[in-house]
Amino acid sequence: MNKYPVGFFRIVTGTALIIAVVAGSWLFLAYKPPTPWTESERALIHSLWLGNLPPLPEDPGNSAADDPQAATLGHSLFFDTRLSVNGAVSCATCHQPEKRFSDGLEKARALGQSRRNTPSIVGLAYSPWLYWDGRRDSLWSQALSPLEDPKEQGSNRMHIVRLVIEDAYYNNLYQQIFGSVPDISDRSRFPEAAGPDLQTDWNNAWQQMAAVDRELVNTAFTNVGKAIAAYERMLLPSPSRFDEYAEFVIANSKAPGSLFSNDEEKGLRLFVGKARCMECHNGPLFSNFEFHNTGILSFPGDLPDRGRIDGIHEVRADLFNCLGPYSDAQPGQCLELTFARDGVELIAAMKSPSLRNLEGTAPYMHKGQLNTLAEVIDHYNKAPFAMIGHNEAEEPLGLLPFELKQLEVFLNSLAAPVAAEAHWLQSPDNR
Amino acid sequence: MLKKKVLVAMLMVFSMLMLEAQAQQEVGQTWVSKNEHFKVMVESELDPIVINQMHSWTLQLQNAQGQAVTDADLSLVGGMPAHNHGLATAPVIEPAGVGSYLLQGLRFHMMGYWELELTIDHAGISDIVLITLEL
Repeated sequence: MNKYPVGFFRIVTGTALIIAVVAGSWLFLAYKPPTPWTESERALIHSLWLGNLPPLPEDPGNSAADDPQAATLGHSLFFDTRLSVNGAVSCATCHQPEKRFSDGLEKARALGQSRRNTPSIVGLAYSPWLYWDGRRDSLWSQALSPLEDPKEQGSNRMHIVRLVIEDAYYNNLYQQIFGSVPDISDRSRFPEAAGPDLQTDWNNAWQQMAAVDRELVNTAFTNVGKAIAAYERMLLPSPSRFDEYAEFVIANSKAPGSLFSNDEEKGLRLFVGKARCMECHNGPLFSNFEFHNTGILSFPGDLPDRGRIDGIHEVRADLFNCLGPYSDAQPGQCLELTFARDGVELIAAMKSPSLRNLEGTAPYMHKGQLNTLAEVIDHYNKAPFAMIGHNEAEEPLGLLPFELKQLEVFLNSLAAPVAAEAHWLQSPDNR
Repeated sequence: MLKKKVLVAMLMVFSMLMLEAQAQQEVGQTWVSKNEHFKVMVESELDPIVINQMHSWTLQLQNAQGQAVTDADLSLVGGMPAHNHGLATAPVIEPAGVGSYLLQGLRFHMMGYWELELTIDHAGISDIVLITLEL
């Protein structure tokens, strides 16, 4: 007497067969060896190769941008905590060299907590816009902003200019770069602390100064930013394992198997193909430095961030923008600001960051909403509706779990140290 | 006999394809407006056009009879239909001589298919030129 009902073995065998076929196809898809690169894929890989990076773009607004003395001064200023109101915060507090000039926090923390994630500075000299929302249009105008931000360094321009003039080392360098230092010794004209739109007593002191004296201070304050920018322009990425691999692919020779694993190669194929990453993360820095709404949720407890739609108005109104009186540029050289766009597409749009700075810079996105690269890739795979504005990625990518992993593995191959001599990556001790 | 016919047919198809390819290449330089009121010759400062680089174009405008059109009002909008977004910049067009115009402030920020609509207004006639690009 058979204790199993009729057909039982047939069902078991059928089920086992289905499982075997599904598992087999899965394994085949996930582990089959990569196919050779097509011509168009090779062209795309070439476009991402760091060897394709154009020369550092000029900064017409900053005549000291490529002055080595200015970089030396900027280097010291970048690490100098005396620039802050409490003497404890420098640019390097948030932009830490060992974390690719970022801080590893969700949102920046200095004197207070900022509203967004600290972006890396590496390679930013190539970006026409600074900050997630592009509210500044040069490295030098950006560098001025945290100095006076109450949540960052909380200082005032009068204090900073005085510090530079009274420090013999700074004073000497400043004169070599910018000519002469302003005479601010008359305390009745130049108070101890002053700056516009800051705490009431500093603001009042600023408003009471003569217009010509305010211009004098603004010019020297601007030069502080220009020196810091000259230093920041030196912070560029070095070739990664991907670039080594790309060199072989571009030359049409087979890359040694030791350079890239199967998964990395497949991740790269997804990156240049159906994962559509290159729509925004294109060029040798893996970024178009443009603004996109990607439907990322706001930080828990925060209202949705309006992003570029506010940033564009702020940069146009900035006294220190490319077209302003403290810029060294001719109006015809300020093309980005002159031809900047408006419009609803900018609602909740944030600047695409370079993917060459992923290592050690988690959490990711403009408010550090996502803790891991896997979460970021999963976000783009799902393409959720935007809370405000419109998610440019209109539909889910539909990538399979092993493909998401392959993308992640590939992105990790972009890790490489900053291409600057070691002494630039630490605080100078020559003051 | 049949082989000969097939060969002739194949040659005809081939030459038609060649002619079409040539025509497309010409259209790459000169664009005709929808209602054929205007012709625009486009010359880019960047050749080939690459992404992420601000640049300008020179436009030569002619009427249907091939005469230069000088005092037209020109404006340009554009974007990527596949991605439902516009240009990364707001380009401006200014007159630059007889029948000539300078289009400044173009920067394409993605690879792929772009469409630009150039609106031309002149002497009471309005027409649109559709310029397409594959970057």
